[in-house]
Amino acid sequence: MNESSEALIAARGLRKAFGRTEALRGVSLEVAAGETVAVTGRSGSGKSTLLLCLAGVLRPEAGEVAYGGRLLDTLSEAERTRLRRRDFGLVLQFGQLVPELSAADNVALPLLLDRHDRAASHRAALGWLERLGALDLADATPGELSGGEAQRVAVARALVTGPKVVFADEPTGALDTVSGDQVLDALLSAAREAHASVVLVTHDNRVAAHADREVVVTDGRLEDADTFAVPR
Amino acid sequence: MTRLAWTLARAGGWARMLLVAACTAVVSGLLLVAVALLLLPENPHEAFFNLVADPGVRGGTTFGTVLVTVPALLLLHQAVRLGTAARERRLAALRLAGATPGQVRLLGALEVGIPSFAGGVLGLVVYALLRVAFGGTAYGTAERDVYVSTPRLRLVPTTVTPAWWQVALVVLAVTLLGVAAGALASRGLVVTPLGVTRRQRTAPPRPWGFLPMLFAAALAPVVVAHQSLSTAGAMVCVALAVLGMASLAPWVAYRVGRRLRARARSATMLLAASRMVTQPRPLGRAAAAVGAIALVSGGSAALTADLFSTNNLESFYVVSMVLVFGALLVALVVVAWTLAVHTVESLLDRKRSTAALVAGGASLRELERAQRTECGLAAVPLALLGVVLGTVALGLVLPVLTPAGLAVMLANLVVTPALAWVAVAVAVRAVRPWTVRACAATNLRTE
Amino acid sequence: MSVQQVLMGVLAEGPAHGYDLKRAYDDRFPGARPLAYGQVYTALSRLQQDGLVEVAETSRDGGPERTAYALTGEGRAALDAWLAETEPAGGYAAVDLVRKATTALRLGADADGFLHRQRAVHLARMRELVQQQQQVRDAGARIAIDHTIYHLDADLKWLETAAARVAAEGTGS
Repeated sequence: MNESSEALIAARGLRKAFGRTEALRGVSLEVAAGETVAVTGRSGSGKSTLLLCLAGVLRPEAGEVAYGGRLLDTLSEAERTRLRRRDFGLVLQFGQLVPELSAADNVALPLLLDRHDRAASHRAALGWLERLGALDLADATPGELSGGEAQRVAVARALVTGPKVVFADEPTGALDTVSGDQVLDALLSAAREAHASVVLVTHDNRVAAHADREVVVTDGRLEDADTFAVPR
Repeated sequence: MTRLAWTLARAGGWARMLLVAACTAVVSGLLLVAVALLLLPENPHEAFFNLVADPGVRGGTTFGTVLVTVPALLLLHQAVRLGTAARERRLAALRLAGATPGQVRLLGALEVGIPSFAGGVLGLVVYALLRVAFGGTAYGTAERDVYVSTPRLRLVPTTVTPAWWQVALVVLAVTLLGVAAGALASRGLVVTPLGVTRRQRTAPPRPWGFLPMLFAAALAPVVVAHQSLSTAGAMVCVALAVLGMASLAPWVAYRVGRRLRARARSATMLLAASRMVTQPRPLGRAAAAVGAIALVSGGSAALTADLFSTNNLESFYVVSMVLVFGALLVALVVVAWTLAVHTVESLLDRKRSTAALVAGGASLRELERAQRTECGLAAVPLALLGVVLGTVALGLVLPVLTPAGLAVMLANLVVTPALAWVAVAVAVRAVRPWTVRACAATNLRTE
Repeated sequence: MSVQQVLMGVLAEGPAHGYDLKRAYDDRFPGARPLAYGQVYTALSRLQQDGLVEVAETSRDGGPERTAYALTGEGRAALDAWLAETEPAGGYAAVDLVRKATTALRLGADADGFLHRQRAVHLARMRELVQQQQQVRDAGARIAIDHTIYHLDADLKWLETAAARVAAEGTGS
């Protein structure tokens, strides 16, 4: 790991509880620009919670998250929203597309929220759908798409604003092996082209093998967040 | 069986049960008033307002009382629809556990029927309250002004009371209405042992609603010409017009939505318009009452204009008009609540994608703006349409129009849609806690 | 080679006779071919030569002489060193991996560490293969690489479930 590059995202001592359950018990993590980090661990270990804290969606009870050197806490709600719109992209396992919008409208939505022109947003959306091999789905509604197709649209939506970081929470979890591979390839290659970092929560070892490094979350804590052991 | 139904009903939530009971109580109370009015002899033994005292107008007042139940019925339908998916899921689970379809249907009916019945019985209380507040003064007793809000507002008979079998009929009818609303609400759902889904792409609504309105328009000159048919004919015309408006609402929502979706320039407009296009019916129904209210408002404004024009400002007429507008305002508040219920249901149906939208960078304000746009676009055009139609319909009939009268009509043309917008804004604000809950990040968790 | 280590693992639980050692080995690997006595005694004599195992006691119960063997201090150290070493990832027979994992998990000492270290090695190899796969165009070569990746994944999944099973057994559930 090059220590000279400043971390794009730096989290320190994150604690988050839901009611009485402690999901995170003091997690520190750094993500460099352009790197893909796999966050693995068992169900209930807190990896999704970690992801959402890093993405500024959840506010931790203790600890801090810094993006590009700025603490997320110090940002106003409007600035945080803008950050999530422009700099971050989010891909969930399922169910994130707006059911009444077409695929193209869904992809264009972040741009529209950022007050871009409708025609230009639509064009950009179609461009991304084409990159992901989903152009023929442009007019379909999410209800008419298969799981793999919907996830590709979701990936397009996450990337359309040119984010610096893509947060993916088990993006292939609900898919069969072949579709999952396609979606993963699409996500990672597009992110790589755009020089975006990817934080990828997964319980699938093969998915984790696509990342630059892995961090393992156990019971709300990180095992030492090192790179893989160098094979002998 | 009843204990199970009671448990299930409680599982559906107290708020919904109370809402259902409240609606049926209002309907039941009003129906009892209508029955009492029908029981009044030609020359009653008590002093009433001319609206009730005059036998010729009494029919219209009775009809009007029944009409006022329509918004409450619409609200009942909305309340029953709230949480229908959850109830169907519970019933489907029972079926998996081995209940027969007949048992499950019975349980479903009981779950809605019990609060409806309770409300129906409570209607007696509502009726009693209406009697106390707006009761007529029986000849021979002293004036009871202390309970009356404004002087001489005597509308509810106190010398006649519905017989026990009539009361039982009303309660039964109201209970059946509740059960029917429940059955209606479950109609669009597809239930299999594997789960409950709402049928996605249904056929777009068609403008059948224009037919009864055309009929009413055709009938109107006939009624005006033949004085003997006057009240009955007028009632039929009004009924047809109201029916027409109510049926048109989904179609209006659909057409407006399609237009705007194609030309939407902002995210909020796109979201609102798309939701209108994909689910025009619930929104249309919720806004149907707005059209009806606006229609009556337009007609009332024309009547008031007539009053101004002919300088016929007797207290009788003035108070009647004030009453009518007051009732319209109350109805509008009820409709606002109906819209709030609809918005909550939409939110509960799509918690995950809403939360994902917010996580992706939409703000709560933008979401609320989309809600306001969605409900407003369904309600305000309908309000405008209704008030224009009502004003024109009656305005054409009236012979003389002074500037004062015209001013009244024009003012109403502006005020009614504006009030509809206010009702929408109030509803969306009232629903904010649910919106916030739908945006919560906990809806995003996979584990 | 690792037969010796498995026997050392058994001895780490307490001294045992040769017959008990064979029984223990067969019980642990019911799918494999049963260990021949000759193999046991060859392994034991090698271990004795290397000073890793010693004779604990000889008893005469009125029958043939029975020797009980025990692990020496050096033997224990050698066993720990073996357990601390990771197995190379690959070769899907992976007999050595199975033997080492079973031994480590049964002994219970630093099972988590063992898992973590082994997982890192496997993942590193998988990652190498993934990168290789991305650079290769030929479909045949890619599916060959897929095959290896999937088997490595299977090894990793097995390691996790094995650990869970042993842990569950330990808590009596």
